Amino acid sequence: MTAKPRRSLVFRYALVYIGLFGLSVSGVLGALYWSTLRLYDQQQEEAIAAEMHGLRGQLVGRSVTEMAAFITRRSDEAPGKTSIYMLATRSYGYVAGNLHAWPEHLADGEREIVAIEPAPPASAQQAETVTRNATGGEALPSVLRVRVHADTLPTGHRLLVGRNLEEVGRLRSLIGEALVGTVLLTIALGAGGGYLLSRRLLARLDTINRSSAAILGGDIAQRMPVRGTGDEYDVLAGNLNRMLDQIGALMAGIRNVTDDIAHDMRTPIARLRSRIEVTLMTPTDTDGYRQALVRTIEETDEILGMFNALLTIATAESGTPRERFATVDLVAVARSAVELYEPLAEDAGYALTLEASDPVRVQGERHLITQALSNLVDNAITHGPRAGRITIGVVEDGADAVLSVADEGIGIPAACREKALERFGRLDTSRSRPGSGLGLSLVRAVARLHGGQVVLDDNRPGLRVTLRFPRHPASAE
Amino acid sequence: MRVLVIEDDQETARYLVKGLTESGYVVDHSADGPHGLSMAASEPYDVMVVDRMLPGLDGLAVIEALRKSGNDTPALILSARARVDDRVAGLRAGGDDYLAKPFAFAELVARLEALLRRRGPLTTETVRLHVADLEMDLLARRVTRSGKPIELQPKEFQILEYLMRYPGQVVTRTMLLEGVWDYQFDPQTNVIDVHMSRLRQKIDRNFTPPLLHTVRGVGYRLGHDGEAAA
Repeated sequence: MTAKPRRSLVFRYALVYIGLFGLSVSGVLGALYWSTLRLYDQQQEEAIAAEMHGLRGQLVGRSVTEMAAFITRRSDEAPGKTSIYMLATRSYGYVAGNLHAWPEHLADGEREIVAIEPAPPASAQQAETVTRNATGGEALPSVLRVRVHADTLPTGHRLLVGRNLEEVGRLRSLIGEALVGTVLLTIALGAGGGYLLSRRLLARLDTINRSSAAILGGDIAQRMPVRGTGDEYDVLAGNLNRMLDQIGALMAGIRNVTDDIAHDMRTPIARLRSRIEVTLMTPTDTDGYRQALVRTIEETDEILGMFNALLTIATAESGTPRERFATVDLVAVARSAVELYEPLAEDAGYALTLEASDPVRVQGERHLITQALSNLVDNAITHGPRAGRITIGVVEDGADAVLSVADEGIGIPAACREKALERFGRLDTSRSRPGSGLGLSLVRAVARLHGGQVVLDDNRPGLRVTLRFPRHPASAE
Repeated sequence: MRVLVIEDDQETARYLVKGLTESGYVVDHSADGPHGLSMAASEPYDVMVVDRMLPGLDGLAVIEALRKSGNDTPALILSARARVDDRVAGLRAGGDDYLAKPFAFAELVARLEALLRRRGPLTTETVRLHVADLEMDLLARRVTRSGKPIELQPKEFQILEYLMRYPGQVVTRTMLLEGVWDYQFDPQTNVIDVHMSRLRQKIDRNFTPPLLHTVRGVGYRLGHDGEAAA
């Protein structure tokens, strides 16, 4: 299964990203817009103030006629309607300029304020007449938004200087259009880019998905393609491949185990079956049948014992959850085993001793460790020469706790030691000696469960089996 | 003695009912959890055998429900799951003993007897145990037979104590391994037998009649020969 571009996570992320990016671009441009306009307003203010200052300088000391002429000239020079001038009497009566009525609320001569300024006075007709009279036919638009400054001249005349705000409006709409255009472009580019990017990423994911589908379909040997660029997809593909390798190895292991079990369990079951068959073939008395049945039960128990051992190994190998580990004193475990086996060992001709003093504690599963040790002692007693010492040792060795069982028997040749640790890895192919061939493999499984290992050594003479546990398994991994 | 068997597998149930009836029990059988629970709650049984996996309500839930309602009929859990943690879960749910399938019938009977016995007046506060002329003082850790002191190793003492708590009853090797050593598995060799022969040396050799008997293929029994095993 592969994802469609529109449902792709990447595409959806791209959309969210575009949204966020568009918002931030709008924010930045908005701030720019606002500050540009403010700056423009400021400049306009300053320009008006400067012009007012200049006009004052020009007008001081002149007669009213001269002033009116000067203002009229300045009004006529003003390009279109951008600049507004008015010279008025002390009582705000019109003297000169292209504005004919003093704004009502611009009462105080000294103060500069921004005001909305209808060009004609109260009535439009009146204003038109006045305007035509004053400016020779060139009429101002009926309503203008103007920024004005007012001042009072030394002669008591009132002077008004203003700037038409229409230009600001044009600037505003210009910048606004640019802003909207930029945001739209950003979104368009982002969406397109996101789509292309998601297509690209999806294409890489698709190869992995196709490989997964092939593996699901049964092509176990298939692996994810690795490009060699070392990017995240390569790392992912590499990890998946390693995981597949491990699963493959485990599956091969399980297959081997199954084969082993099928093979090695057949033997005792076949033996059981033939015994029953022989009993049926040769008629005998009740006692004979009873004996045959007792033997049958014994052999069945043996087979069940093998199954139990396999189950225990499986339990240990599948890894009992670490939370279930508790503190186990290996010395106490060993002492208990000595107490259990000492009489048996003595009867068989061995001296079973424990070499340990202080408690040696590990984190572990006590029952499994006990069973592993019990198997080792069992082996030493069963397979030994029926003489000599069997020594259980528990020592601390650096960060490890070491549990060992040493006998003085024939030992195991170095070349066969690995095989001895395998399931059903009996060295005695005739199978004449007792035992399931599972004892040591359980020991190994238990050691591995605890993050430790088992080593078979020459005890000169005899066999020494050493179980090494990290005393703090958590830190050992 | 009335025993309730809650077991859904027909073959196993038939085998249990037949075997227990022949062993002298009055046996009732239920094949599923809810029915078994209602039987256990309504009839006074001396002991129950409960399979762990049951249709309707699993065995542990049945026992838990009974315990919650104040019913403390001893229960032995039967299960194909033999791991230590399965066993712990069974006992934690209120089961009194746990036996993994497959099992020897004699083992089951021995454990039921032990459960029935545990119900009796015998408690951990007991300081003296008697079986025939064998006497054990748990406080002084002394054992005498016919008034003569017998020297025992600590483990021998524990084994004898276990046997004396179930006088006249069959005690299996597995029960001893669990009860005395806390071993949850059977070692490959019959390691218990040597302990028993040593114990027998000490308590029976210079005395008559013998008290410690081997029950072939099952385990051991402490008591006069005349006393029935089950």
